[in-house]
Amino acid sequence: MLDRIKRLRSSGHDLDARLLLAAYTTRIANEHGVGCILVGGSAVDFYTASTLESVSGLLPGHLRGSVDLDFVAAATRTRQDAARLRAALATNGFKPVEGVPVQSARTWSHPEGPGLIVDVMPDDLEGSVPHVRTLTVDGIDIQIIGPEDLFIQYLEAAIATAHRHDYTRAVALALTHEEDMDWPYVYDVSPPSIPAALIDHARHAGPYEAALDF
Amino acid sequence: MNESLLRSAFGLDGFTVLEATRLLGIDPKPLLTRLKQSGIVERVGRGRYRFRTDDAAARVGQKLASLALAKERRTEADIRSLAVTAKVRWESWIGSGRLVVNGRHYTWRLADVG
Repeated sequence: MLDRIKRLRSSGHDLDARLLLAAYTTRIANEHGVGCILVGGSAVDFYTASTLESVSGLLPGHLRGSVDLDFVAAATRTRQDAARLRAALATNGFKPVEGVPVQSARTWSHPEGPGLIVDVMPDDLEGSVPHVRTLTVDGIDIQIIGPEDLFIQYLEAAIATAHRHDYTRAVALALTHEEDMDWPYVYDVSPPSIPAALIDHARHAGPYEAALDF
Repeated sequence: MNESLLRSAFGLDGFTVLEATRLLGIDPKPLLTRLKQSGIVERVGRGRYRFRTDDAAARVGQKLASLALAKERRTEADIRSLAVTAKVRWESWIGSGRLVVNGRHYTWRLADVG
């Protein structure tokens, strides 16, 4: 499977390569009795794959693709599960990028792989398990964080760190999934730093600079 | 704004007045009339239009679109149109067979690289 991931990447199918690597990682985790959930930028890239070529000129910024895969362990969502996921990766040839001990290494890569990074996040899932979706790639079911929680995370990050790119990702998610997102959930669980008016603003692709004034 | 939405959604494919109405959420005839008079779109059948492909028309269209984006404040109708445009493209993935959506279960077909 690693060869196929490399072929996909070298032929310009970067998202396909990352999704197949996510499937490969999920299979390894499941074989070791650990669940995992794809979160972060690659999850955004899947949900907004269509947006790149359709409304990119109308977004508040350039929508850059991610360069890694972020996972959280999902079995019981404890640090022990993250350690088991890391051990499973090590058993299957992945190496810690930082050269730190296996049990605490966050960033992983496979020497025979496509050069993509797999991040095993130390945190719990920042989001709702019932909103997690299933994405089947090459016959393997990947658990992927819901677009609702991604929208909240990137909007919150955009305000906290004043990064236009995070705001662009939130807007792209809203535009692409305006009709199938659980918006009542989004309004209900968003932290005080994201008032309803700001959610409305982002849903309406409002200007980035104005978003910082809420 | 609305012209750029039409370009984004339909590219060089033809489109009908009905499709443009569904995309923009407004009666597109005044816009289509202006674009036709400017030589940016051409009529290719009964109620059917497409963007012209020659460079001059493309340059004019691009300029008008950028001016519109710079000057026009986005309205509620514009926003609905943006969402529709994104959804049109999301559905185009489905139409291409790369993506199957069944409620909250997605299936992605990888590109064939042998």
